Amino acid sequence: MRTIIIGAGVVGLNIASRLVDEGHDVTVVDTDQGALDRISNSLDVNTVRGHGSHPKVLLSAMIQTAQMIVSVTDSDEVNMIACVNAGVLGDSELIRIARVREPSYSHPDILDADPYGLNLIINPEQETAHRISALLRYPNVTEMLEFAEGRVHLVGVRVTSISPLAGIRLLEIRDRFSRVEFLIAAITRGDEVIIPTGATVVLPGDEVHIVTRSKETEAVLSNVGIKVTPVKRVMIIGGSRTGLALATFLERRGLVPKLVESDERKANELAEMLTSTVVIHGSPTDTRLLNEENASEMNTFVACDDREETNLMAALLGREMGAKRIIVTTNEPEYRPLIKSAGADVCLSPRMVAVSSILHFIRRGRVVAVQALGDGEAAEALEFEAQLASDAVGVPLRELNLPRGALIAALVREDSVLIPGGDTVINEGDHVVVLSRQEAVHPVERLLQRRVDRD
Amino acid sequence: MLHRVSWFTRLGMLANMVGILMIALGVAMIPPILVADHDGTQDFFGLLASSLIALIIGFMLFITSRRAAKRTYIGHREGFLIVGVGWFSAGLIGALPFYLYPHLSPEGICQLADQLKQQSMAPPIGSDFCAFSTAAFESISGFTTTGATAITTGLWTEAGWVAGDKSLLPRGILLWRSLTQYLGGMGLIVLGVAVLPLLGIGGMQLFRAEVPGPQTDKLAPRIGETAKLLWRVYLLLSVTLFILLAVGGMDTFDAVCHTFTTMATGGFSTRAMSIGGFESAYLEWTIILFMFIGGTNFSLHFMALAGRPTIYKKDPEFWAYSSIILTAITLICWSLMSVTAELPFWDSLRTSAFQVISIITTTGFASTDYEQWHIAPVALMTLTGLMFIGGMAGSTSGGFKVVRHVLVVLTWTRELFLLSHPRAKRPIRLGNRVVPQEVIRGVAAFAGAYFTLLTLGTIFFCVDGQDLLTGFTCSASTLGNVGPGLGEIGPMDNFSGLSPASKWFASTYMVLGRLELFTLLILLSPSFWRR
Repeated sequence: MRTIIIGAGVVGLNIASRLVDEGHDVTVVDTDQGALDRISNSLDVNTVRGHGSHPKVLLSAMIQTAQMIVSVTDSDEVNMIACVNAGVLGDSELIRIARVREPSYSHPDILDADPYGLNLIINPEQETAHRISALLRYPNVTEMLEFAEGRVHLVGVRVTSISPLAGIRLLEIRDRFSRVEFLIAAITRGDEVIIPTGATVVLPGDEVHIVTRSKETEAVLSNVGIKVTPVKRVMIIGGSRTGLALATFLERRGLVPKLVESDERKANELAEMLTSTVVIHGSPTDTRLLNEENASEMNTFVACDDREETNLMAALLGREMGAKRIIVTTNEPEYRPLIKSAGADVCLSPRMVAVSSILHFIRRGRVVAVQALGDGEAAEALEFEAQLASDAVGVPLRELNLPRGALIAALVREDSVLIPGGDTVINEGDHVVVLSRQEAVHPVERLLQRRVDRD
Repeated sequence: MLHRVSWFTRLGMLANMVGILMIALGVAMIPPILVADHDGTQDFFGLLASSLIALIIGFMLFITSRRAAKRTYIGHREGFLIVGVGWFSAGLIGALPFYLYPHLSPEGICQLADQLKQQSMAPPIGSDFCAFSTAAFESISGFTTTGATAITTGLWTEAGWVAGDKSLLPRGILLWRSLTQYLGGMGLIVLGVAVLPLLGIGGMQLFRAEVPGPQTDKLAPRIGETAKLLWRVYLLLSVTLFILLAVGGMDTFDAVCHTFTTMATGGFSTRAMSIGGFESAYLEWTIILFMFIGGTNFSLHFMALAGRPTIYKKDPEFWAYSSIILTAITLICWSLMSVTAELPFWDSLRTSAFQVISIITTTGFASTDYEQWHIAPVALMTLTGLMFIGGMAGSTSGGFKVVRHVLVVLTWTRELFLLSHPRAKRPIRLGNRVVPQEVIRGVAAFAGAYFTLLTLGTIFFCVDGQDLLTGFTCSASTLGNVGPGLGEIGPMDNFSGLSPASKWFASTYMVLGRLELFTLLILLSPSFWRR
């Protein structure tokens, strides 16, 4: 697929690199020759210098023959206009994706009328806030993904040395936890994502990804030693777009978050935009202020300031003061391991969230839904609809030749959710949730959707 | 283009506006003249003379200042001056019919009063107005829609108007009395909704802030248009009320008078017993409803009539206004029933609703002598408290206004919040809108001035010989444009006991309260007059 990417920033670069890996042709457009040089030195892409919204530039990037345009510059307006112009100049089937960060552009009437002809609108900060807000449903989870219209949950949990999961061999789980049914579908150990087998042992310090029926999530969590009292006290550091969006989501859920912002004018603006949130003006790294506002009593401490060092310091302070869980966002995806080792339980990068939503959109059609596991691209959770002609249908799972690094985590058959064992058989039309390491994704897709490939 | 405006030209412009006002008042006196002529009563000559005086002075002012007015631009200062001077001159011109009625009567009421006084016999009907201070008090009480009266004798009994009965005040003068309130109420809507926001003084600006939705900042692009729209609402509601009253058994004249004084939340009645004199539950409920309507922001009525009836639900001031009323009614109804064993529930409810709404909307009608409630102190105290609340901003009612109370409460709850979160930022919100800091400042200044004036007024009336209860409620009632108070000026009493000095003082307080204090106080400030 020939793709034009407008904007050679972090998002543009990451998308380009993934698309090139998957064998697509990519043209990158940017006004900054330096950025273009850096990109063409490391990737096999074509570059065009100029304003991505100018028709002349689009034509010189050969918009006529492109199948997709991804506009991810820092300006919403440039992104939208680029897509409008591309729609006129390009092929009628052209897929148009734009990053639009201003929430008011997503007014329902505008979305309905779709005046810019966008196939996908990416709002990284909004999506990040959404993911954080999902994590805030329970006090101690590090990940919260939903599948099959919310009927299946994928929950990330950090295993401590006193956790009932610590030291357990996966084969023993069914015996040890007889009252609830769940499945450990993946384990993050350090930087590595392990798709476990029956012999895998859970170690303290691991982050385990548990698949459950959403109705039973609470029961499962309390069985594995996670408190399920609802999160009430949340402190947000930094009134960035993510911070504002998160506070808005939490307000809608009836929570009263605290939001600390160091810029007085911005604090005043935030206080006018938000209703119940307690907006505090002050330095987030001021310990007296954090004490005054009871940082130690917080169920969750979210650092999403625009400055990396503020986030890092706030995370360290929050840990020091005893906040129960710390979530940090970063604009530099490379910092993630560092921030995690500094004490953050979860580290999300809005830019990487944007990258994965774009990539998942591109694969839409073959799969019902895809979500990246954790914040990296090391592993994914995919939801398929099983096809009749597929090799996987009608065979017990133990006889199914699933590629290494992939695991079938749940089956949704009409109204019931099955947590599969070795004897389970996939029927036609079942929705299958699969966890897979990156390298196993394509073989899994082929296995479950043989018929599509034959066409 | 720069306007170089001399002080003299400014005076000319002021004279021009006052001239127009006087001509309008002279014309407004024509219906009472016609009624007096039809009845052949003693007030005919007084009314006719007043109308001629108003028209002559009006035309003289208008013609001499016509050229000056064309060249002058009306700014903030001129606006304040016009409003202040205008309201006082309306009060004085409006006093002429009252004053001239006994003086120009064929029977010579004032000479007769002097003779009867020497023989220590009861004074004749209409002699109350022989003193100009009383006439001016009545007129200003009318224009400010206060409804405090100084009439001791001659208000009608249950029988109503009987042609030729010399013991009753003539219909012409009573019609004029009601008409002053109607005109005052009408002027208020323009003043409150169209003019004051432009002048940018505190509280009234809120009217805009509280109306939700961007398209409703002003009802129409021009003030003139806005005023016309609101007048149309006022007239429409008046016609409805008139029909309802007439259906309920009032004769046409009474229905007209009470329509005038109810819509303006004024409170003058033709009856000595006020609305209680009609002894009709239907009429009481009708008037309860329309007092409530009169105490509501008229722009809400306009928008509701224009097809958005849900606007009431969205307005935070309306919520506060309704909940205060419901709470007060519940309290009083319960309190009355607990002290009077055989009082039926519906009677108690009607009586409490009537008094509560009459006082909170600063109307001042009475359906019962609530001073008898001293046996139910909860009821009496609740009612006294309502005198300090007033109706909604942008209505015809006076007083402190509900929205200011709401803002005061929001301000102190914010202070409480800031005590536990010293570094938090928290704007004050009315509904979804953030209230600008200047408005909060204006409300704080208003509250301070209001309670200072209240105290000073009480001291003044007490120095002039009133007891504490009378002095205090007199101060509160005139400043809040309520009408009746307690003690010597209770709902079935009147203000005739006040000395002439007190009457002038009370009149000034009524205008002060009507013009939201600052419009008038600014005229006393040296910086206003500095050129």
